[in-house]
Amino acid sequence: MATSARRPDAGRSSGPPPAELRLDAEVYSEAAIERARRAFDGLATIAVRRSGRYHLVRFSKVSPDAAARLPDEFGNYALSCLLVHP
Amino acid sequence: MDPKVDRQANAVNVVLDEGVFPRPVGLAAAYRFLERCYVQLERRPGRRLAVRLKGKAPLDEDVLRGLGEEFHNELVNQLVRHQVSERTDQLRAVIVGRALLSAEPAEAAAAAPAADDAACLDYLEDPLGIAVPWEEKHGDKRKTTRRGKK
Amino acid sequence: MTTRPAGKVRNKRLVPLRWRELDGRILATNDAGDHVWLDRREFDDLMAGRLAPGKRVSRELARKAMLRGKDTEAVLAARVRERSHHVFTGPGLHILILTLRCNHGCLYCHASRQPAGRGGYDMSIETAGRALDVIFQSPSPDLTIEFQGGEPGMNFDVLRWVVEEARCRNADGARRLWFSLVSNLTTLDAAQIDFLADNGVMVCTSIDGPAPLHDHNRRLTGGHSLARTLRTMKAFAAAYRKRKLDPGLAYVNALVTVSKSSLSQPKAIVDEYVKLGQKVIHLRPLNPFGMGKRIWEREGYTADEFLRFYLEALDYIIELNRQGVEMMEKMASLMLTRILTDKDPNYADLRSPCGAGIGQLAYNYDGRVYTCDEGRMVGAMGDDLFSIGDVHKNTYAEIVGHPGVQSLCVASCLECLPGCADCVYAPYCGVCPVYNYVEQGDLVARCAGNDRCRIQMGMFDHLFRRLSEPGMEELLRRWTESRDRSSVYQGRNVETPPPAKGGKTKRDRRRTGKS
Ligand code: SF4
Repeated sequence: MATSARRPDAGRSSGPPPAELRLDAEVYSEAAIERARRAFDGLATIAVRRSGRYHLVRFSKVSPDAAARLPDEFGNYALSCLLVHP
Repeated sequence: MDPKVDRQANAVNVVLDEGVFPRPVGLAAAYRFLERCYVQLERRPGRRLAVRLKGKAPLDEDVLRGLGEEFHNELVNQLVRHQVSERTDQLRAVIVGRALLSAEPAEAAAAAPAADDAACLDYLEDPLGIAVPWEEKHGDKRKTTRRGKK
Repeated sequence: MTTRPAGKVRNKRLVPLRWRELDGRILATNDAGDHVWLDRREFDDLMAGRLAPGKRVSRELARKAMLRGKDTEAVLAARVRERSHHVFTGPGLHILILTLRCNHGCLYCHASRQPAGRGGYDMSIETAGRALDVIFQSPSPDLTIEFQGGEPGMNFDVLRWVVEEARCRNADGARRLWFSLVSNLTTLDAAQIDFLADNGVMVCTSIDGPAPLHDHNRRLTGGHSLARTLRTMKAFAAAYRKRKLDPGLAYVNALVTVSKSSLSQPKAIVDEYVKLGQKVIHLRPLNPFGMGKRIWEREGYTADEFLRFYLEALDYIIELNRQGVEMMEKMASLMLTRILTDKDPNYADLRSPCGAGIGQLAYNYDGRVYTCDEGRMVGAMGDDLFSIGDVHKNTYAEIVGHPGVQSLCVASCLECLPGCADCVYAPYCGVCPVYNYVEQGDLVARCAGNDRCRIQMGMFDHLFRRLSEPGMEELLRRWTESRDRSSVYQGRNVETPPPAKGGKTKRDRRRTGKS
């Protein structure tokens, strides 16, 4: 199951610690992830890389207001992109 | 396909068989829960799809289980919608196309076939499936796939 | 459609049918809206291809193009086309929200209503002119401009301007122009009534029932809403008489919005209409558009409660008909027209696809354009999903080309919707995606649990039950025979000089017999 998890380097930056989201590449297309990345760009620094069958989405320099919900909201947005822009 | 509540994660997990509920059906059902939950999907071996519905606020066990059950209902709803939509796609294209064309500004509509011509074309093509025998329209799909006028 | 044929379907002559079991019999319909009743055995025989050709029911099936014969397909195709006339015509209904202000505070009113004295909620002449620019780009040969509000009578100068300006723009008579006013009739003065009668503006008002009920539902400062409405109706009747207009054609329409308090008084409401000499009553359920949740909790009711009320009223009207009282219920009359004739009444609630954007457009007082009035009401709740443009910024082509129009068209194409595609009433019915969105959070209806579907289905069930009674079809067929009102409502009713900006229209010349 896709998860969002705290990274060991948490707490090094001044903002909330970075978080990571793992999304199954057999479900979530690259285009959907990219759309979501662009949509959430202003709220964090977002890096996406492929690791096996997963997209690993890493959020750093997260705006404090969005920190708690950002990975989950990103996941929802990416899912909606799958339907709206199949 | 029983929903499994994960209280620690404030979530409920449902695993569905993609042989029964094809991917577009699972996606459409999941989409309907985006406002209420955080939804994540993952492929599982054996043509199965795992769906996790996570509460946006802390939810108790009954509410989480209820969400899972609602998701089942939504799957059935989306499955029927998917099947009807596949069955009627040509018909929809003709009716919706005709209706939208009717609203086009006069010049654009004039460039298209006149209503009468269009109607003749449409009905010779049998958009309403009038010429499709009952068995083909409602019967066993595996045996009868022919559409339209013979 | 839970009923299944007992065996395999072997009848190669069948055209596609839909069916439903009703009171132990099976009602079947085809795409052209013909219907037939079968008992269980006949149904199974029909499906199995065992029905003897000489049987009464076989002959009926053949006559109604439910069994394939020589020209069946061509006949059905032509009739389906005639019944679907609305998909060929384009937006003909244009609703102008002249103001959000109103002097009433009705119990069930929508969120958009503003107090009578508040400024900033009237449509300006500039905006009305832009709306006319859009309206006259519609390809529809018939253009109906409907004035709504709030109380549109409170912005009468703009109403007057629109009527005169629209006539000027149609000076070549290229379109059939219609005007209609939906008003509570408590603000109009004698000069305004004369203008409306002179200009063939159809008038529709609300009468919820006897005074205690009406005045309870429709609250007016100073009270006596019904008395004031009736006084204006009398003034209209006098104005029509003065112009020697046929009273069978020139009259004020009225409709009932059924509130919670109405539910217990179906007969009293019908009797009030009989007393007023109205020949048509339109019993409309409350709709949830734009209505606050609190109001719905106070004034709302279930689909079953409405149906009980409606069917009792309907049966009572039929009984009155039998006693020689001329009266019909509007919704039933439209449904019967779909059932018993191939005429297309082009009524927004009973067409597929629905009229949103392709049959009608609603123009808010500020110039925003919506797919329909229902969409505009949702906009008033703060959700502009159904807004498809602005007359100040967009052309007609941009407005009707908005993706929202396409979405609603697809979502209301009944022949392709789950539940509806196989419903026996599909040839007559229609869905409202805006309703579905408000009630079920999705443009596409889930028929299970959809109150609107439950009400429509209940009405159709009852009409078919009644139609199958001896002699009833003949009586109810009269409800489908509407008289053409164009001689009164399409053009001007006096030999007055034409509007200053343009010459007489062809229609005016025809009417006055002068060239
Ligand atoms: S809305 Fe209901 S009654 Fe109408 S066609 Fe659909 S299922 Fe039938």
